[in-house]
Amino acid sequence: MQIKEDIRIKQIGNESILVYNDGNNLDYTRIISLNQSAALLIGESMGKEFTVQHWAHRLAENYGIDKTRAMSDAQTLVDKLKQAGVLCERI
Amino acid sequence: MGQLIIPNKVFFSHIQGEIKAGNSVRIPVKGNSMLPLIRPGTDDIELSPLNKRSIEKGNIVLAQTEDGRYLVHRIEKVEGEVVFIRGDGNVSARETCSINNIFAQVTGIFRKGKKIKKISCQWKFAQYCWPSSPLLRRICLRVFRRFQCLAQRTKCE
Repeated sequence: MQIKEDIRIKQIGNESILVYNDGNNLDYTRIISLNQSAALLIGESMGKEFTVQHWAHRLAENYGIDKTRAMSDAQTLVDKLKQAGVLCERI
Repeated sequence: MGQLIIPNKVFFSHIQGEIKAGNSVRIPVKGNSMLPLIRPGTDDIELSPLNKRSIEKGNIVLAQTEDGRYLVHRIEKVEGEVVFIRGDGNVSARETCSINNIFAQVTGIFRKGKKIKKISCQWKFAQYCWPSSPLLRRICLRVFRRFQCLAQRTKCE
């Protein structure tokens, strides 16, 4: 899967957010706020293919958590992003 | 779905950066100071980079006033390096800022899925026909608010 091309990651003060680019405007009326780990994973994955396993591996590597928890956290993030329409699946 | 609260200064200095980079942005509206053209709650505005004709009487701009506040108000007059701005919904309050502290112009208003452009009749009406006199403005705003209340009541019934 991949982050959609019209999604941008931005830093406002201490906040990392996702904004939608509709082609003409960066839309700051509907933004998604990210925590530190989500910002890291999404920032690294912009314009690239990734899997839940890849994200789980990066979480375990960066935060020293066990694989089961990393997998569960990565899956939760993917589910939330899918629900928000941020991800697209390659067929 | 929650609401992320970002201090005005932090938010607008970020927006300033986006505009400088040549991007247009869409942001939500707060406050009544640009009524009746720009309405809080229902409207979003489109901010775009400045061009040669942006800093002219009648245009709506994002400016930082001398006391550090960021405002989206209409230019009333330009005197050398000083720009006088005033909200359409303000009866008599006016602000001044340096010409260098105007960062963006409003080029569109989004309301109920439609975009009100600068060339629209509604925009031109607010630009050329909205009264400048405090007394007339007070009366017009009162009439507008009365209509808004009536429209809301009709919706509820």
